[in-house]
Amino acid sequence: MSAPLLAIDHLDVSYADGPDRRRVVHGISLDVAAGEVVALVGESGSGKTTLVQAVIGLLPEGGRIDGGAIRLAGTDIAGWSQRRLDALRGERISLIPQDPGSSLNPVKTIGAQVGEILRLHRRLGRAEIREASLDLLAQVGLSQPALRLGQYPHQLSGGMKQRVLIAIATALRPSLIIADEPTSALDVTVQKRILDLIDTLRRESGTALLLVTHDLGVAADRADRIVVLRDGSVQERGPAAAVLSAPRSAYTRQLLADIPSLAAPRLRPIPAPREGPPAVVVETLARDYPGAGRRPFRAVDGLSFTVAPGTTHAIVGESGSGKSTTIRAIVGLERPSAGRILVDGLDLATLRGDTLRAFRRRIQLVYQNPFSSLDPRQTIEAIVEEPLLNFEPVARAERARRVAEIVERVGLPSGLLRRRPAALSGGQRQRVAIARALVLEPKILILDEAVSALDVTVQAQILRLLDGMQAERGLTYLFVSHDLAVVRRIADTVTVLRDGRAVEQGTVEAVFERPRDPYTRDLIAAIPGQRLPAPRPVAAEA
Amino acid sequence: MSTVPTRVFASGSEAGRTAPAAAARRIARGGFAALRRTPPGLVLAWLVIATVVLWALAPGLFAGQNPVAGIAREKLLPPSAAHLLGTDALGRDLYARIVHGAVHSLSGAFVAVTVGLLAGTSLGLVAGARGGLVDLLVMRLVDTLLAIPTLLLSLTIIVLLGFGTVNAAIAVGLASVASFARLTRSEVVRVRGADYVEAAYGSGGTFWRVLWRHVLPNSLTSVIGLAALQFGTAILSISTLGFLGYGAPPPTPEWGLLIAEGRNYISRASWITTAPGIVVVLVVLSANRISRAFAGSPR
Amino acid sequence: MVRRLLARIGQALVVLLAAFTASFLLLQALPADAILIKFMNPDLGLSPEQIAEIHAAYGAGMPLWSQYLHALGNFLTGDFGTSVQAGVPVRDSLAANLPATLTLAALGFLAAVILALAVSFLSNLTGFVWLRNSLAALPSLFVSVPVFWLGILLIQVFSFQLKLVPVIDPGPWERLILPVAALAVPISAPLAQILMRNIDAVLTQPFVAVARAKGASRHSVLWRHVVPNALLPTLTIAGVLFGELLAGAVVTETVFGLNGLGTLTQQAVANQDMAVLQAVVVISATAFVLINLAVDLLYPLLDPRIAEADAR
Repeated sequence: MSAPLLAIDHLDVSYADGPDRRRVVHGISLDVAAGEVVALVGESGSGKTTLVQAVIGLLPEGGRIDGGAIRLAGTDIAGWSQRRLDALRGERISLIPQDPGSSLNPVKTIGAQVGEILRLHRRLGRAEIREASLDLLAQVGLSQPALRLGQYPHQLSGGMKQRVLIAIATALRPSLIIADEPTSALDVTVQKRILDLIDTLRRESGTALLLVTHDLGVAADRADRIVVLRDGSVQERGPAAAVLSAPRSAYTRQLLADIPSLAAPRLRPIPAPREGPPAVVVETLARDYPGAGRRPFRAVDGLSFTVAPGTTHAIVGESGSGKSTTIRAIVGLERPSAGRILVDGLDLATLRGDTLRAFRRRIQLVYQNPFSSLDPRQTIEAIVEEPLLNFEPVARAERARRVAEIVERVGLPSGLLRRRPAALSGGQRQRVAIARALVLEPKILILDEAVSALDVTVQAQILRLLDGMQAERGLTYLFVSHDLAVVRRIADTVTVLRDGRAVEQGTVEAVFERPRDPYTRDLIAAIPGQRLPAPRPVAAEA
Repeated sequence: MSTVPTRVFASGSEAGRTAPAAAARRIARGGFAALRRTPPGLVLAWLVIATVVLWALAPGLFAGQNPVAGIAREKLLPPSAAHLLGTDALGRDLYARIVHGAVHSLSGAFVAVTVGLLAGTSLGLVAGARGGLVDLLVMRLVDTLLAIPTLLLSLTIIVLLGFGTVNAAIAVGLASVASFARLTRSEVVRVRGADYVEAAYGSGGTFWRVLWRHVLPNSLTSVIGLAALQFGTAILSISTLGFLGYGAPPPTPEWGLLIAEGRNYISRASWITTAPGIVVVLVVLSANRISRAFAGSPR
Repeated sequence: MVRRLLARIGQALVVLLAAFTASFLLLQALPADAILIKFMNPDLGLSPEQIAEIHAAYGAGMPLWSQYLHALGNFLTGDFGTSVQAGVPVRDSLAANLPATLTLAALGFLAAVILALAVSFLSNLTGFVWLRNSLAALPSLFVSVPVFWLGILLIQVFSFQLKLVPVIDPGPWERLILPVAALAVPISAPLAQILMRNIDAVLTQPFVAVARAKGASRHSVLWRHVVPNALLPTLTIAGVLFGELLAGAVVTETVFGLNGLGTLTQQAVANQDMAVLQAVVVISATAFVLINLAVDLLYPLLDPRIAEADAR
């Protein structure tokens, strides 16, 4: 048998950490055969990005290969000088980066950046380079390639930029493409189209793909073989179908159980709607922003929905759909341009000053990014206690008791009370944010992409926590997300937003099983992980 | 998720005992590691500043000789055991003059930074927190102050106030008000837009409470960094004013004045200008190093 | 676009007017009586008529606002008043001294730019860690050195010890070598610092990794991708550097005994010659405002992102 295209053999990689070295890749071995798609799956800190950076010889400063071999078609390139690697990169190995937004030089034209790879490796005249660049841009499906050549990156959308980067990576028909989370910064519908494009181009030229992803669903849809990484070591490897249907390691089983997929069951049966008036009523809400030219930009346009008390309503949409504007209006941080919002029977438009402040006890917001929503200078105790100081005085001992109680309830060890947010993981921080929101005992909790920034296993933990809190306290949730799979898992009713308008509304079951609007159908079809087997629940809930 | 917390809360008493102990161990380990990780340059910088502060507080402990009255026949002596850094044209011990001069430079810099910090930070805080017309007016004032080169601004203020150590310090401080105001305002505006500030309003906080609890503490870190930087700059500016003759009058052993006095002897007694200059460079360098530590940048 | 341009120019004019007003209030209006007190000193033996004459010459009899308008009108027509000390129009002494200082400042600026570029590029190109670290530490050292002391040190070393630059009767250019060097060092420091910081920041940008992944070498990426992105923001400190340059000139001219705007300013302060000082303040503020205005208007031409934002 001939040597595989890429063979990584017991590779160790470490980073300088002050005077010490911290090892992040521990003796990883893996092979990629010619023309094959191998997915490298892992959560943050698993060492997956470091591993591929080592393969392409572009470890960040302080990174070093301590041992092992990287063989490209039988030749060990691990010890090669940058000069030798320069001849290899672009020609035989290329890279599709993670964040298209910052992966193109902002002050150079698209033409210059696509042409650069041709100029570096081929002896071509200016006209030939231009000709070849036009072909490449047309190949990746960019409209008006001639216009694009003269444009700058900021004039293109995220999906278009990723197409340009794919054109660059496939320009010289390399034998291996490394794609590092190529779509995680993009909306789901764009994500699917980009992955399809990579697939097509790859197939045509017989290029192998090493696909780095945190999303087991993406891996399931695209890969021939899957390698699961955790803390810098391989947990499991094998053909995609085998890994997904009969995972051998406990970690993979946990990942599979936690991954929100369409096939996954709802966390709990749909509750019977409680008696009483709706918790939230939004009537023909509109919000304008001063926009380009004389016409204002309408972020939300005639949106209406109601949320029954004790249920979860999801607002789903891609970036720019008006989700954030809607919830900011509901918590009273922004005034609507038109329409009416009733929260717990109160008309927000009638609230000013102190009545608005009093209203805030009933409705609380949990932010997307747990790194920016906690004051870095406060202790966890101070963060959770703060809302109690804003209303009628509560005795110190009583405050301490309530803080300890809620912190314990959200599953944080009491030892963390005196720590600051920097000492906590992302999941722990999000628990703190939830504790802060709940300490005032609100009736309604608004979750703004509250689990989107978290790893899947942590995401699943937080979703279970939220579910438990709702059952226990009869809370009403307004759950904002771009991730339909997560919505399917937690919500009762759903509004699908597009360009500030509701394109579809109804119970989760109805919308997901029998979508009427073509956009909703697109969204559902774009969810990765359709090939995932229906997971068997893991005995995690004690 | 439940596995981890279940373990911790399985038995309350056990958790109560082990968690703080573990935390203490972690903190102790962290403290040791932090010390080991402090860059040597930063340690050196603090040592330099500490030494100079001690010179200013108790100069007699470090230098026995009289800094003001000299012995005429011992003039322009090169460095020796009796006179560590030699003597000047009037036979005064240069080392003693430098040590006794510390109090002038340091107190001057202290006054300057205090003036700039108080006035600048208040202006910036009001502008950033209030916004609107107040912001507009304050920022145009800051623009105007920034348009005039700092040395010229200091000179202008000195002309109004008159020459002297304190006046020079005040002039240098007033000239830095604009930088403090601009930085404070931009920090306040940055912090005001942070999610945790919005969350604080969202949990019922009033404007002043949120300002006091979140905006002010989080804005101040880089302002303190600027204050440390400005301390070095103020020592430089005050010595420059001293050199030009607008600061302390002779025979005060102010560092800039020391260098000015040594100018006429550079061909014969270079140590008179070299030594105080090196002291100024070391102090300013250290202040800048400490300021960078506040700013958190490694370089 | 045009609206933004006009707004920006309007803002510049407001700052200029404010600078003039402040300097007028501080330097002309407030101290006018203080100066009169000086002349009323009986030791000078001036008669009341003479005092009244001086009084009138200073315009102290007029109400403040008419003095202000008068001074503003004069400034706009280039009449900066009369120097009390020299007894000649301020305009004449400025005209006599400006060319020397401009030469010094221009050469100092040029040397500073070369020095800053050399330090920041070398520190990024060199493969030797020790060299990189020492070069990276240079700007911090440069900002900490008092200009006047550096000047004295340079004279000491190059004129007295090495005898490379003559002290007595140097040629017109020889005379400038050491002052330019002394001026360049503190000006180069902030430039080099901001350049190195920008280069470091740009190097961590994903587009640099993408360029390397295309097979471009370290050097090629530095020149083609990093430098254009790192140089642009340095333009924004041009105005501040000008102020530093002027302050540096005051000190260097004093140290090296050169004639120029710096010496003029220094003498004006020593003699409390308000008219001269105000003229210098207003002229330097004008230069600062004009430089910043030019940078703001030029920036969109160099950075496509900003041009786009303006066009909207």
